[in-house]
Amino acid sequence: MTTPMKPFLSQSPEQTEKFAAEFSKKLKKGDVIALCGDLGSGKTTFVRGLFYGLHGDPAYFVTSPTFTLLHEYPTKKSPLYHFDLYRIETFEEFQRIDFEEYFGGSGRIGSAGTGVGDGICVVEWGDKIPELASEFDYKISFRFCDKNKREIVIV
Amino acid sequence: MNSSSLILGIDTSCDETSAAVVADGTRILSNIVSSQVKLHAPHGGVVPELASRSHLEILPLAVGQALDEAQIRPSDLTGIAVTSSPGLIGCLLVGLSYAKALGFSLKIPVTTVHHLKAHLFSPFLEHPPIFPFLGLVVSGGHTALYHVKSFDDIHCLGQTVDDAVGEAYDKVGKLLNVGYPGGPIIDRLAKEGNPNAFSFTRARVKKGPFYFSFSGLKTAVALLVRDQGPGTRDQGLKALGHGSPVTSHWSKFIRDIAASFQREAVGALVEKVGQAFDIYPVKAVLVAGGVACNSLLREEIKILSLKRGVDYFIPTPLLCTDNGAMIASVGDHQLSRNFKAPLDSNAYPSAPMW
Repeated sequence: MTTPMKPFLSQSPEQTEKFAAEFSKKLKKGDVIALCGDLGSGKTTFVRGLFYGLHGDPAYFVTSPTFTLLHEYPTKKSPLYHFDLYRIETFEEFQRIDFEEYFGGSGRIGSAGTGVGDGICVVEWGDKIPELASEFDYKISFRFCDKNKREIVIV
Repeated sequence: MNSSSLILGIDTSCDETSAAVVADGTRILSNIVSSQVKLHAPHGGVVPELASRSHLEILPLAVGQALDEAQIRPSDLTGIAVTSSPGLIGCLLVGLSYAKALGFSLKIPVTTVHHLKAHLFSPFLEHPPIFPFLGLVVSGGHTALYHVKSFDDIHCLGQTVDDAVGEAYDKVGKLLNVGYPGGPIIDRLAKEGNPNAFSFTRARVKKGPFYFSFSGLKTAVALLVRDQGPGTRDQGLKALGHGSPVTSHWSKFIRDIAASFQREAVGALVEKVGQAFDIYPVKAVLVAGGVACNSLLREEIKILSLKRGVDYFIPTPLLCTDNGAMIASVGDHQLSRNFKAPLDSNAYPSAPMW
């Protein structure tokens, strides 16, 4: 983790997508990103921007994984794994759904898994499970300012 | 038993464990749905870990009960149908592995069914099939409109580009703190509120004329709750009459939000169905999935179809939500066409309809 950057003030969902697409250029296989912020603060929109930035397969499009928990999108760079922990309450629950396998990397909780670190993982509500804090290479927080404005901070 | 086919249908794709026996594709002999809502309620949503563990524990019991109620022995079955996509992979695998093992031991064929196709055709468990039709599948995980010319000729006209409509209901329920699942509770509260109290902008989706978007509506409600309803989250359950008189400001606020939200959510769905009528000549409109239980949606679809002079079919509530009977019914069709699953067939979290 590096020091926090200057907050980005997004004035529209399109600006959030553009900002995310720009950010996606520094991502590499195995990176795990936590997205934190209230309902409607732009997390799924941000993932859509990552998908565009990584040149996602146009046959797919990014929707909320709240119900399904995980969406996988093929992109030119690597698979993009889109998680949503909205309905997960504890670390034990998280462990039992085998998501840590996707995170990969040595010394991490998922190092014994199979599909280890072959993609970029982005986790909505990533801050809900404190035990996962050390897994994240980036933490991005979203704050509601008003109807169209969102403040986005990358840590 | 004078049936040419007796199919066991199994669905474990999300929060329901279901097993059913269907004779000749349409005659429901049993339909066991062990709703796990009670198990999930403290978490404000479906908890998958609980779900897949529960499937493992409940499925054998549900199958036993389904056979008992149907008054048949396992050896009477002529085939097994099981959901293999879409859904939570862990949950799907419980049902699929069970079905394959049972089919192997009974020496009967197994067929894998696409969950959304089963929803789409679920009204035909109660009515004779009619083609072509427009089919709206609305639930917590899905919102899609289909043009269906035959059992195999299914064209998706559009789907949600962000949140499913049932997900929006659940999240609004959570914002208002009125309990889980949000759908039925919001529906009930909406009847006591003013649907014109708040107005929302209808989402216009660039992707195509029949695509839906419910994320902006959810956000608009979140903003209203934040700006106009401080205290609402604490007051939510109280305002439902749990311990306090139903006269408070919050009580009215919650009901007005519910009514206004419902009006917009249902309005957005019905508007697209109406526009699809203009382009696709059909004989009927079908609505299926958990949100098909919604009273306003049922009413509005009925009015729309009467206006257009077409039939409308919406299943009874037990067949709207996830259930094994709809899986068995589609499975029966597939097996009659010799569409059998090999022993190494897999489950898929998301797959196009087959």
